[in-house]
Amino acid sequence: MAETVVETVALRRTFAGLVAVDGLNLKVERQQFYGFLGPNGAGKSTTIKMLTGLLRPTSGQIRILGLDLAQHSVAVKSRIGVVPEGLALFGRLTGAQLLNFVGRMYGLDRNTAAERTSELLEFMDLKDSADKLVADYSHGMKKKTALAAAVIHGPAVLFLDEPFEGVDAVAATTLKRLLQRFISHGGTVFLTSHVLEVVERLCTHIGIIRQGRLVASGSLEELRAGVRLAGDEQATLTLEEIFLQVVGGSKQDAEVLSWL
Amino acid sequence: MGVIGYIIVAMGVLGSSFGFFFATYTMLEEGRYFIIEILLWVVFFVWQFIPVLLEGYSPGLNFREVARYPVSFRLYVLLNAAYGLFDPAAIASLFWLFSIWMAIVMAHPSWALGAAFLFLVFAVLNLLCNRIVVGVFERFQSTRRGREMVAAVLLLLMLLPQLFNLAVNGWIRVHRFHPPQWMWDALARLRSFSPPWLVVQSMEQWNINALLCLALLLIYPVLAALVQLRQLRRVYSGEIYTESFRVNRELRVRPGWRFPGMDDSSSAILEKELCYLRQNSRLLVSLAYPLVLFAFMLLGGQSRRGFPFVGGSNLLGSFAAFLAFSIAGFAYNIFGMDHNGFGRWLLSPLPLGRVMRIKNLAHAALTSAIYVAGTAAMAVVRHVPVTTLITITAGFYCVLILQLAVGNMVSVYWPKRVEFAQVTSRSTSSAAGFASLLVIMPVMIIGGMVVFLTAYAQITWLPMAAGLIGLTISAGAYYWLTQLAVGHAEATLEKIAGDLGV
Repeated sequence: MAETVVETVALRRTFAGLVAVDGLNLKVERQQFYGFLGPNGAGKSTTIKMLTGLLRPTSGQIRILGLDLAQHSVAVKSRIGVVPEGLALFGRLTGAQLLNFVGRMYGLDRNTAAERTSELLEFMDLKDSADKLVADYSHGMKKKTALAAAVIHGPAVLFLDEPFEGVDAVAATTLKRLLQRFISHGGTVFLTSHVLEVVERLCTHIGIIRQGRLVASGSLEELRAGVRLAGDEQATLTLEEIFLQVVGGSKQDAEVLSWL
Repeated sequence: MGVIGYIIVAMGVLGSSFGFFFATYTMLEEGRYFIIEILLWVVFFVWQFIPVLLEGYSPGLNFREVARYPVSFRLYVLLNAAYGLFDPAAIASLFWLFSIWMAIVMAHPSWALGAAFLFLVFAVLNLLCNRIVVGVFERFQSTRRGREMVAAVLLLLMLLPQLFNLAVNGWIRVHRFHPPQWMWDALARLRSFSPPWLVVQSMEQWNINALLCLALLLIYPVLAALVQLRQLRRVYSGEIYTESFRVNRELRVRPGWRFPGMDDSSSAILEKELCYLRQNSRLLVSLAYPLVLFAFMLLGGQSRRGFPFVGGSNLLGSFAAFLAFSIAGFAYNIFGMDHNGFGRWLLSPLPLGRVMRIKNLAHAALTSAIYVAGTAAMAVVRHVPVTTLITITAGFYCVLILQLAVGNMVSVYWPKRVEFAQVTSRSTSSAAGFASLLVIMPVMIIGGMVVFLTAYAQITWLPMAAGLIGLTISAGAYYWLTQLAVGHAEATLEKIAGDLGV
């Protein structure tokens, strides 16, 4: 039986009475590429913040790599890598300084941190900008830097909040290459994304959240089996069709913006 | 600026316009025509520099953006000129020019028409020059590095009053410094080409020299118009000014620093803090402030005129107090410069308390370096008794440690995101200055009492004993307050992250 690396039990988070995440039960196993989807405001970012220690749950339990996050936060943090929503980068450091610094902060020795920094800058096509302040990087460059900072210490699990948002095709390809390499070496990825095509192509397992509750979870085939188009039992649904079936469709175009 | 602010400015402009009128009229009646030149220089400086200073402190509409709207080039040029004409400094300058002209009309009615024409040329020249200067400034402000450099320059400009004091009290009065003749000659030559001089010369006389001056004066606005048109054409055509950076052909990442007695992660945090200071012109200026002021005090005090910091002990004491006070700028908002990098501390497997202590260590090391440099300079120039030196140094470190401790509390209770490119962005919350004074005042009073008792009661061991007791109390307070700060930070991480824009 595969090892469960991310598990939540009845996870709940409220903000001044507003329920953002409501009784979430998640299970992600080793080497899974787990895509966590949901419409805007569904609770994706709140969930990933709680899983990475940026936000405390109102109630419920989180276990990462078999450890209770509330009790062993330092041990958990040293074994996970995170690309958070705001990227959490020090803008006044150069790209090279930042990666070197993050590597050493996670306990790498000076030489290993420097070597890995060089390799990551090379891999991410950031070599020419290594001496430029991160504050002056483009959005795509910042995303690549954040991902490099997330993997420099060799984590077991990666949590990525919208890693492909605002990233051009070239940068997205680099990010995908790195993530696939990470999975093939035994890692686990948990990502949120709005780009359904990317999720469909990369993820082995998908969870869909709506109004703070997990409304669908499983492999793409399992989701397809659970959601069938009315009147066409044999149709192969795309992730977008599954997503729209689960979270609810949109208004007909003809009904709105008639002037456009 | 609110309605009351506008009313005050309007009253100031009207009042000064009356001043311009009466000054011009009175002086012209006495045949002192140079008053016109002086007042035209005032108009010139206000019209050219005030808009740039205001733009630096609080950037308004960037006129480069207007070119992105569907306007013709001709309309764009007109809008640009109109925008410049409605600048408060331009309106004030026009009022002043009108006041000077009214005074000329009353004192020398025969000059009225000629003066009106000359003032019109002078106003057009000022308008064009101002728009060129603002255009260059906006281009500079369109990059992160440019904005930060402007902020640093404006902070440096705040030292001008001290520089003036140094020049007057330290050099001119003490060293009897007189500029050499060639300097006066060069200034006189430059003056003969300046617009205010040309206006006055063209107005005063009716000869070939006046005609030459008029011709030269007319050339200036034509040249300025050409430069302005070229500048506006480039912006209108979509000029994008981006900052360049050095491309690293051969990537070589050097291993980070390793500080004695510290592990790799602690050394990395200390290195990061020092890099943050080194790579930020505004922070460097803030750090240089105490040293520059100390140099001014040391040199400016030589004139002994209205300067209380003449003796070595007073000078060192005031330097230490100023330095201990100014550390609040860093210590009272230790996460403020990290912006959303604060999230990186939360994601890292390091306890927040350790991060705070190493940040404190970085600030303490820098402040100590400045203190040692100042004290060494002091020892060369002035005499400071050993007991006073010990007392001041012990007092300084007591305050420094207490400042760091209180700073940790303020940093987590009232965190504030610091914007490097805005001069008006404070580096700490408004509570910081008050808290800092509360820390310094008692220690200064106790230090003063120790010096007094040592000198008059001949208790030679007192400075050492008081220093040791003070340092022990400060260390205890630091430990206790930092523990409280860490506890509060861990309980309110989300609020702090929100305040810092994570």
